[in-house]
Amino acid sequence: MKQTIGAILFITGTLALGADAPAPTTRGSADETQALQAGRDKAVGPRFPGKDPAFLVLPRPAERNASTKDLLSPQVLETTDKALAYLARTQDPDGGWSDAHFASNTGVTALVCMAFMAEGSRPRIGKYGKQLDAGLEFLLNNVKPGSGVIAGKGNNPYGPMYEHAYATLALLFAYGDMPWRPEIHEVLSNAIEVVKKSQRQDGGWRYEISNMGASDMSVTANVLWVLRTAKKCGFTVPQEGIDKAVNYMEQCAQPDGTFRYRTWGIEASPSLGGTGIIGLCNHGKLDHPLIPRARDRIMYEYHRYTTEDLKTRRYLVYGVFYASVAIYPCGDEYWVPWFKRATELLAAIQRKDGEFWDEHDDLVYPTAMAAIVLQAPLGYLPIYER
Amino acid sequence: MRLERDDSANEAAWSTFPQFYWRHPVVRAKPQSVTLLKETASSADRTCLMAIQRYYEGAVFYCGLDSLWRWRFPGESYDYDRFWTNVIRYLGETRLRGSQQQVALSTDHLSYSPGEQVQIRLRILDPALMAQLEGQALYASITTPQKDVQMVALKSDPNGEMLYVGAQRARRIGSMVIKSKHAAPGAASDQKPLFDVDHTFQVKMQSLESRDTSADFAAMRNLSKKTGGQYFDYHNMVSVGDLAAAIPADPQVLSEQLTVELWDGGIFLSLFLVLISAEWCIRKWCGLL
Repeated sequence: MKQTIGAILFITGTLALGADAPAPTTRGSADETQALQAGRDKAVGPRFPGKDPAFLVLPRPAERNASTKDLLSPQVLETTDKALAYLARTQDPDGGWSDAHFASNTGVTALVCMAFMAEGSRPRIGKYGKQLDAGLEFLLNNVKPGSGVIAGKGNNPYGPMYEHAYATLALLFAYGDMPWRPEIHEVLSNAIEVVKKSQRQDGGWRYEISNMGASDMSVTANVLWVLRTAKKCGFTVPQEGIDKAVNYMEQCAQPDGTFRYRTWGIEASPSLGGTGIIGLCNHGKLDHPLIPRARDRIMYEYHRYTTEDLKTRRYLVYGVFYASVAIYPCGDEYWVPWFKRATELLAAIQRKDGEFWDEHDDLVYPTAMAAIVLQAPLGYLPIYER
Repeated sequence: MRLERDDSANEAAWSTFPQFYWRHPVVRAKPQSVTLLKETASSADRTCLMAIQRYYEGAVFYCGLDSLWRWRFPGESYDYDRFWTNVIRYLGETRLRGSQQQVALSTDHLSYSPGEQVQIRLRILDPALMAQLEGQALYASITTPQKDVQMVALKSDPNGEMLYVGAQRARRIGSMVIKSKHAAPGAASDQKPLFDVDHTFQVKMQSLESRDTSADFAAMRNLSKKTGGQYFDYHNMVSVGDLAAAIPADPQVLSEQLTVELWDGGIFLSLFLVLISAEWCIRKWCGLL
């Protein structure tokens, strides 16, 4: 990009915004002040200004996190570049993305858009700005008139809530970056209303956009994600609905640190533990007693089993994606070893054209999720927050 | 603009940041603004990315980049948070203090005798304002009790301090008010100047004793030297403890030399009286009187 600015920026002026000039007196330096404040913040822990868990003020860092740069090794960067190039190549002429079982799907498109955002691109700006812009246009063009649901023709046959949730999330991340589409505000308002009205009696959500029937953990975690992001973007989200959803997730928790897919039935899995952590963190409950058990369970899974063992898992990349978002807020003590293990695993399953896969031969959404995970150390996508 | 105190660490921190994909197009930086960050890749004046300009009690900060969140890599939120925390603190602290703090006007004394030289100092407290004032003519006005106004040109300090200095001879007796007010060139109104400060000093007839009541360090140093003592001020005050430690703990025998003048004593007077009396007696005995 010719418009890009050189990484080496010329430094001029005498104003020291980041650090004080050397002072001959014994007054505490800026670095010492920063360390003192960081220590005080750490003792206080996360805070919620206004008592709203969506807005979390975390302790300020005492120093630069040096581990972040080390995680993006040349091999990880190469894996990521191949995955992003694959996604850019497979865009449909209408701007969306299709998968083996999901033609022109808004959920798949939203995940690809988030993968490009994780790289640092923005609509019309950046390495994948053009593709991202077309993808977001596709989402806006697939809003169903009247209902406000963002779902195209190739929805999941069980119902469009995944598609709607991911599409809403991607548009929320782009909200403010598309001034040429002012209607995005109304689209998002309607989309959030759809989410609020489709909350079920047990507190969660499921595939169908309806408030009848039982919920599941996976959809509920994704919707909680949407609601928290919507709050941070300034949309009105009632706290009671979020409390009910978190209560539902607590009911799905198992004593061994896993979460059931629903309050009854299917066996618990570690990747669902990731959804549990995500849901609880999105509610601001960083010190919830269920989180350490779920976290330890995920860490155990990824270090206990070999790559060949893990390859046989259902929805492997999906599970890695959930686990990444769950482990990231737990701190470097867990994140760094987990990420190294996850990148080994992802490198082992990547195909030669850069794509990832699931057992149903879907290629695009697993590739998008893998790209998001691989770029997590960049910290550009707000789903990775501490 | 610095992110670290140490030069090499500062360079290293800047070099780790990723590229920006976009910047706001600019024609040029305003003449009185201070450019904090500029682009090296492009030519001409259209390179300003960040600039600051002081205005009245506050400052305007321009940032032509909307992707500073990219600074989250590689140090997570450390640099991003630190940058914005310092920007907001810098821009808001003057207002929070409730007064204008970017300049301080003073004189070398508060009281002068007629005919004495008055040294006027305008100290600039903000480096950004100092850069902004470069090349501009600054003045201070001195208003007498009779409402006469004298203008004094202020010149930048030759030693490179953030200081403007001027001098004026005190001619009239009374309370004088110095005022320094400066508006940005081309400003639409001087209702909100860059700064507007004043200071008062007195010109009066005064005795030599009260003219200068400050400590005469040279005289005290000389006195201590001549009397065998030691001299301490704030420069070497820390060594006062050594002085106390040098006093020996064992009992000491002190000798003292006294000089007694014999001619001025009672014994000498008695001897003199005895001798003079004896001479008188002998002379009497021999019939010499």
